[in-house]
Amino acid sequence: MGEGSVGVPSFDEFVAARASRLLRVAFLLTRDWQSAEDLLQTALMKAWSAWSRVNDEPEPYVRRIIVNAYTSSWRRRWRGELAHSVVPEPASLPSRVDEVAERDVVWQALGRLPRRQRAVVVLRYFEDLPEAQVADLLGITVGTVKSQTAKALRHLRVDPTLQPADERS
Amino acid sequence: MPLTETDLRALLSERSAEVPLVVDRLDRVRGRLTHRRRRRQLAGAVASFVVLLAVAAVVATPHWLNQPTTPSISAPTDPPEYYMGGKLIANATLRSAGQSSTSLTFTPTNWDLRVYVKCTGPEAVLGNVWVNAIVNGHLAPTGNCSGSGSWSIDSSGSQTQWSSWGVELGKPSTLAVSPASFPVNGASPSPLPQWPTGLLIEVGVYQRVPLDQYVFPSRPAKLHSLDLGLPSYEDLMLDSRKAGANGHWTIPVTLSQFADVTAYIVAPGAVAFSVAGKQVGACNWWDYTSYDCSVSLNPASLEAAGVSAHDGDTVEVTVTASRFSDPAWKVTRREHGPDQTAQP
Repeated sequence: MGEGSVGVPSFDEFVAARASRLLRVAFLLTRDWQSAEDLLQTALMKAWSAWSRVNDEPEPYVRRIIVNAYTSSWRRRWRGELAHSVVPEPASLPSRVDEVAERDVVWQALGRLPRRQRAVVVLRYFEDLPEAQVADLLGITVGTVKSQTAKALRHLRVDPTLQPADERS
Repeated sequence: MPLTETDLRALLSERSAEVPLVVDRLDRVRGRLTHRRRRRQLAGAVASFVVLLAVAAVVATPHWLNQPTTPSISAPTDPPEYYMGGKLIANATLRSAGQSSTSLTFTPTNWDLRVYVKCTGPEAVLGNVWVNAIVNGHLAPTGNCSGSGSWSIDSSGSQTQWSSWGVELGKPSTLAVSPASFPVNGASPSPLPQWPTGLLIEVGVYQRVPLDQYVFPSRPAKLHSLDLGLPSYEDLMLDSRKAGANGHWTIPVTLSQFADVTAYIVAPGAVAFSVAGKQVGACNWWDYTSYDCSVSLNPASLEAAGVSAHDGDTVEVTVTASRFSDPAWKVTRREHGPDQTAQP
């Protein structure tokens, strides 16, 4: 395991360098580190099997596997939001209590979003992918990405008026 | 007042920042690949066998099909004395039906505590076991044994959290661990009716020690590579292979709401960032796996550190690297604002 073609890092190098970033994406989708690790390892298994076919950039390929595995329904069986191994830190600065509380509300709301909307939010606002790339990754149209983003932001209580005009629905 | 997109980005970044370490991820992926390959081979062999049986019309049942198999039970391993910045202060192992639970006593001297729980056993067993952890009689966050097979109670530095479980500095506390069934539909995990064959649960309590007291693991012959390509929106600012393993350097960084500096590290050591003499972030690493650690550099984050600055200002950031045995780190600046997302 681990041999790469020219221009492509070996599988081992790729895992060593990028796994923690991809794990963060998986965590934001699953909201549970254990499930995130499981999701990442599943994606890495699939990626390893196809490593010789991965082009210059394996990261988008693995990210696509993660997101698609997450949005597919069979995983809901028992890998949902059952419990958390990490306890949220309490607010430490009195002047930031409102802000922290607001963020907690948003974080909880993120967990209630439909899976595809949650994926769109993570890809747009954590991975900073352009809409076209998100659409390609999820296999939906750019218009659907826009509308799903707008709906998600409304649920998350993010001010939709602050979005660029062409992204409002 | 509704949050802004900037707040949302910050929230996603903050909530996912405490990435738990999985030291043996590659081994686990390899193990799962091997397991899958064997399963497929076995499935093929079974299918062939069934076909042969049908063709031969054998009606007698072989007596060995009904004999119980001897399960393999994993041998416990000694937990590392130092792990992820902490030193082991108590540990226990739970491995047989005679022990429905195990408890250990630990006496912390600071609030930087982590509890690691590691399960080993057949994959089919791990996928159905939940682990309850009770600290001084209080149910702590629990986890399951599936996936990587390890999880942690990570309330590092949270006096409030540990105190709520009755933990006091300098006084012994008790941690009890027991396997349970998977919680269904929000119900609490319930005790298992019988011990899952082949299951081994190991638990260790670690307390943070200062970096200069931490004993690093042995250096492997070959370090992970630092030479993976960077995304187009990330600029290399400092590379230890040219600058040196340890020392102080100053780099100019233009502040923006979406800017951060990232340290890529493949060996134990510390990379700290300071502005105007005030530390604004630090990345400590404990072993020879790969690690990347981002520190936000915007007016708000600097203000929190006591430095006044404005969007668009260029500040001198002092990078301090220490305790590295090798030139095994590099620092980049990343701009992840909306303007950059259009880049391929």
